Amino acid sequence: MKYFLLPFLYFLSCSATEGKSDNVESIISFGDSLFLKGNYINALNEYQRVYFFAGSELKSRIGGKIADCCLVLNEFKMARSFYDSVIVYSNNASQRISCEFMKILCFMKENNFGYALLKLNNFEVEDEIQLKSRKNLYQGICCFGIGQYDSSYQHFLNSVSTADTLRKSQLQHLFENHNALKRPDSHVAMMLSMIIPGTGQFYSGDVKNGLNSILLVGGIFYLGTIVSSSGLVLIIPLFCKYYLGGIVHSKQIAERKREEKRNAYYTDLMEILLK
Amino acid sequence: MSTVMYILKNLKYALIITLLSIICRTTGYSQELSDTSLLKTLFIPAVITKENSAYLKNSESEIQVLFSLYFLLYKEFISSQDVDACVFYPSCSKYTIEVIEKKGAIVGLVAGFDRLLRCHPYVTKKDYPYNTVTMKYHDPF
Repeated sequence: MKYFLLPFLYFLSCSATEGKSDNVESIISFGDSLFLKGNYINALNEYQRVYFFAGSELKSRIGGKIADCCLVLNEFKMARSFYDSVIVYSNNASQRISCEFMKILCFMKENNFGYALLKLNNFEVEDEIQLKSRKNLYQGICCFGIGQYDSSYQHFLNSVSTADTLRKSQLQHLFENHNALKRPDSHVAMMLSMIIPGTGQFYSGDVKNGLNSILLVGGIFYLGTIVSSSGLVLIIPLFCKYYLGGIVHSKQIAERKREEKRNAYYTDLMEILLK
Repeated sequence: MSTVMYILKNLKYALIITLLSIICRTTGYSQELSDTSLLKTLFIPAVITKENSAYLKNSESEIQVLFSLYFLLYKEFISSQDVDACVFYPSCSKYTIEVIEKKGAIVGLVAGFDRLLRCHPYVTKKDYPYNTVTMKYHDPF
C-alpha cells in the first residue's frame, strides 16, 4: 500500500503544480532545456514558435531568449535586433539593462570595439556598484580592443572593488609591460622588407620565413644579374612577384604575431578579472 | 477510511514530495546566458589548417610521391612567399595535384597546364561561379 501511494502522491503533486501551465509555457521550458543542453538551433526554433503567437508581454520575455540563442550561434545582427526589441518593450528595468549589455557584447563579438565603446559611454547605469563594475569591465575590454591600453588599465582598475588589493596588484603587474603589445609594428616590418627582403620577417621573429624570403629573392636576383645578364627581362617579373610578396607577408606576419601576443595577454587579464 | 488515515499518518512524506516537485518545477529550466564565457573568448585567433601533407600520405605510386613532394616543396618554400595571385579555388597547384592523384601524371599535367592558361585576372563571373567570401572563382576538377 505504502509503495503504491507514494508514487501516486508524487504524480498528484506534479499534476497540481503543472495544472496551470499552458502549452506555451511547456514549449518555453522545452526550449530552455534544449538551450541548457547546448542544442541552440532547436531551442531557437522552439522560442520562435512561441514568439510568433505571443502577445507583447510574452514577446519581451521570449525576445531575450531568442537573442541569446542568436548570440551563441554568432548571428549577431539578429541578436542585436531582438535585444533592441526587449529594451523597447520590457517593463523590467534589470532585464532592459542586461539586454543593453548583451547588445554591446554583440558589437564586441563583431570586433566593432569603437562603436561598442561609444554605446557604453552613452549608456547611463544606476548607482549600483555591480552595474558600474560591469560597465567599467566592458569599457576596459573595448579600449583594449582598439589598442588604448592606458585607458583600458584605468577601466579595469575601476571595475575591481577598492578592497580587492590582490587583483589590483595583479593588474598593475600585468600592465607594467603593456608597451610590448604594440610590437612588432607592421609598418616597420614592411619598411625593413623593402630595404632588405626577409628582414621584416626576422624583426617579427619568424626566422624560417625570413630565411626563405631572402634566399628566394636573392637567388632570383643572382640568376638575373650575375649568371645571365640577358635573362634579366625574364627574371624581373619573378623578382617583383616575390619581392612584393615578401613585403606583404612581413606585414601579415607582424600583425599575426602581435595578435597572438594580445590574445595571450587578454587570457591572463580575464584570469584575473573573471576568476 | 483506512487509506485516508494512512495518508494523514504519512503526511510529512507527502509534504516533502510536494515541496520537492514545486522546487524542481520552478528552478529546473531557468535559461539565462552568462556573458563570462563570451567575454573570455573575445580574442581567439583564427585556426590556420595546413592539409597539404595529406597528398603525400595518400600517394600510391612512385610518380605520385614525386609529384606530391614537389607540390609540398613548392607550397612550403615558393608559393608561401608569393602574394595571393591565383583567381581560382582550389589553387592551380592544388588542382594539379588532385588531378594527378585521381587520373595519373599525364592527364594531371595536361589539366594543370590548362588551368594555368585559364588563370588570369580577366576571368569574369559569367565563366565560373564566384564565391563572395573567399573572393575566388570556384573551379574544381
